[in-house]
Amino acid sequence: MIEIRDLSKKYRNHKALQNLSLSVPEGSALVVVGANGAGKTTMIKILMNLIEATSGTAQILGANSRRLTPKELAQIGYVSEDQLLPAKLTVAECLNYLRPFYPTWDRQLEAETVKQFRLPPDRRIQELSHGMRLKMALACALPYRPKLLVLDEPCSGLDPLVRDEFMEMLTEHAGEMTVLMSTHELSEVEGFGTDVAYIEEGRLVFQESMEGLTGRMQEIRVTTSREAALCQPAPKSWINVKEAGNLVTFVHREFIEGELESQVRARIADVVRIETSPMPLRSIFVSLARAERDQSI
Amino acid sequence: MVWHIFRKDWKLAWKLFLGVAVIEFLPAIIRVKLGFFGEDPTLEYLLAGPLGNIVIVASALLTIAVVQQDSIPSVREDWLTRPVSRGDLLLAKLLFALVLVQGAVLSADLFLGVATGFSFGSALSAALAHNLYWLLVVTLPAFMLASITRNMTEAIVAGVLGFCGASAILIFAVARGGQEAYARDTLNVGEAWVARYFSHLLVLLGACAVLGLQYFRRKTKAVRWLAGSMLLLFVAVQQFLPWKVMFAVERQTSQNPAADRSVALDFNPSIGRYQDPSGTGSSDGTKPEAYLPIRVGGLSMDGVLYADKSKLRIIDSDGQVVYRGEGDDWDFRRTEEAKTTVYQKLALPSSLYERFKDKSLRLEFDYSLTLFRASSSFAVPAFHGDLRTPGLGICETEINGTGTAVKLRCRQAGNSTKCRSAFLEDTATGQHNPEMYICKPDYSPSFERAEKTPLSSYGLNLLFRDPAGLTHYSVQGPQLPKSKVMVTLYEPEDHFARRVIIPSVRLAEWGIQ
Repeated sequence: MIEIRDLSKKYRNHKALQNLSLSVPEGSALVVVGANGAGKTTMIKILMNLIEATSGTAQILGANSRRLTPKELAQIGYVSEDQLLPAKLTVAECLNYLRPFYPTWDRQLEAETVKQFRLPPDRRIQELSHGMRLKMALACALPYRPKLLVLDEPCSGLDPLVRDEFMEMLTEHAGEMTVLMSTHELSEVEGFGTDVAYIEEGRLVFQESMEGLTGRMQEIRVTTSREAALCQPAPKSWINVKEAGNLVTFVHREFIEGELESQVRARIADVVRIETSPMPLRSIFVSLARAERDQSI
Repeated sequence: MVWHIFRKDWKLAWKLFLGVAVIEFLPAIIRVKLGFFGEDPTLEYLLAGPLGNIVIVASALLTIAVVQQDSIPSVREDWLTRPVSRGDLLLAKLLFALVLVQGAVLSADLFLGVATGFSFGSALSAALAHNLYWLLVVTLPAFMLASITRNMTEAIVAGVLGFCGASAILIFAVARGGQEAYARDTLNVGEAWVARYFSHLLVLLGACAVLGLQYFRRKTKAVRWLAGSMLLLFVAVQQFLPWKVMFAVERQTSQNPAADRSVALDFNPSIGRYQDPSGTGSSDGTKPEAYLPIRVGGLSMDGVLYADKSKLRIIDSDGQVVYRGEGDDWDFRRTEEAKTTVYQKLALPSSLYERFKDKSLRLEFDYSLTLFRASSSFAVPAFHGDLRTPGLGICETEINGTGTAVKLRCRQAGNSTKCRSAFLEDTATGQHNPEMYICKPDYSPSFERAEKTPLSSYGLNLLFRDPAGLTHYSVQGPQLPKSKVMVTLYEPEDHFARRVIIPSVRLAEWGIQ
């Protein structure tokens, strides 16, 4: 569905993207995460042909993103936090305007979405709140059942209630399409994505399945009988290592069930108990970001 | 989808359109209300200046607003990610510009023409000619500007910057060449239309390139550079197109290219120095002046010779060119058999004059000339006259408030001949007052109307009484009911060049006597 190869984007002296490669297979829901300014929006804007890459290529639905035709665009839904919908049109007028451009537009789905989101048909888009405007953007992207849905920070600035409504609607329809979603708000995409990609300073740090990531990233608590003494240096796969009394905690980046005990006993003496716990997505990325930052320091 | 996009734009811009349409109709309504003789200086100032400019700005803003409903350079616009064909979008915007923006101008012009008294056909033809000019000078440039800017603020800033840039070029040109160098070849000459046509062509080519690249390739940065370069070129063509090019094009439009064969010009010193008709014997004092008698031969009694340009070279006795400049324009009509000579006025820099006034100099004039021929004559009753003819347009007459002159006011749909003569004639006796002649040539083809209105207006005040009693007129007040204003129109027949060489002359000998 999406193939990005060695994509770079330079703004004067700032490198927004640096040889980024990434792929989104059909049927998957890839969540691209990264801090603000990591390059997520730049990547998506290049994909949607809103801006031009400095080098590299981006293929979307088999077409070069620089040459997207109405045929491809009719199969892509796009929702962005900073999207400018025709502000002076009312909700109904906007939907009426968009409808003829999509041969696959489903009026029933449109009506359901508008109803579910409680979008006031006669209100002008410029009079909608930020949250309602994002709902409107999604309501304009779902009715034609796009093969690919691209979401750029869709939950940014939404209050929890609206965010839940938005994500509910998204989750309801996500199974029918391939999804690419960028976010730095990780709590809301828990359980939504099938794959995850992590971007840091314009570079892809990793891309893997959500299952694989949550499986290999585990929080480890080691209790010792005496004051804990960790043989330095700790393995590279252990990050955010902390020692406090007879307790050592760290995040294991390459957790394998059967190998943990031997790894721990080789580094820490007098081990009494080893506890592992899966990490919420948010904690995973906070740990990764911290480790990345500490490394760069 | 063209119609679908058009309807969306209409929905969003109809209020703005109505506002602009009202503004565009306003000058037409005022002109109709003023009629032929309504001379209100305030309203005339408003029409020629602020109101006329407001109409242009309003029309441009409407175009920009509509184009920017679907802004091209923005990276946040929703439509960019929609399956909207760029070709359809461009066509929809062009349709709006042509049907509504241009349509409002056309309607106002048509209203003015019909309300003035012209037939629907002539009013429409004049309005269409004016509309074409409007398209090239207002709508297309505004369209281009809108396509390379994200919003109205950016467009206004870019427009102001463009204006400042163009002005800077002109200021630079004036600083380099002096006020006289500024646009002297391209403005205020009958051939000005050639420079306009070149710039229209440039606008057309620019529009194709800018809109094509922007709508189909979305190369905003490159297109902005291109548009900037086009603007520079536009200014250069408008202001600095060489006279040779302009006149060469003009010559191609000659109706009768052989008509000039008999016309000959030469220096005629035997006629003596220029006699100032005012008798004061002085010039305006800003520059020393010389008047050189030039004999015009081979001109028939119904012909007028107009010097569009007289390029001058002054060469000293060593063969060095000491001055290159221009003599004043002149026209020559053989109002009587004996009249054969016209005085070529030269206004020279003081330093040059002082240095060379008593020396023998060689003068070379390269004349660009136009031969006019009387094409038609009309008689309009002097008292409440109202004549409507295809050649003359609509002419009305009225006695002025002080009872000293017959006011002749004419309007023509589209461009009109700018050379005409008129006199008062008593039809019973055949006596007539002195003829008045006015010639301000404009040779532009009829399908271009480079003015703020689709109608040309002109007028003459024909005196029949001198309150001071110094001048006696053959046709006076009591004869007016039986008198007519005889109007003669002159049409350009041939454009040609002549060179006049004066081998030896002392400038000091040819001042005003």
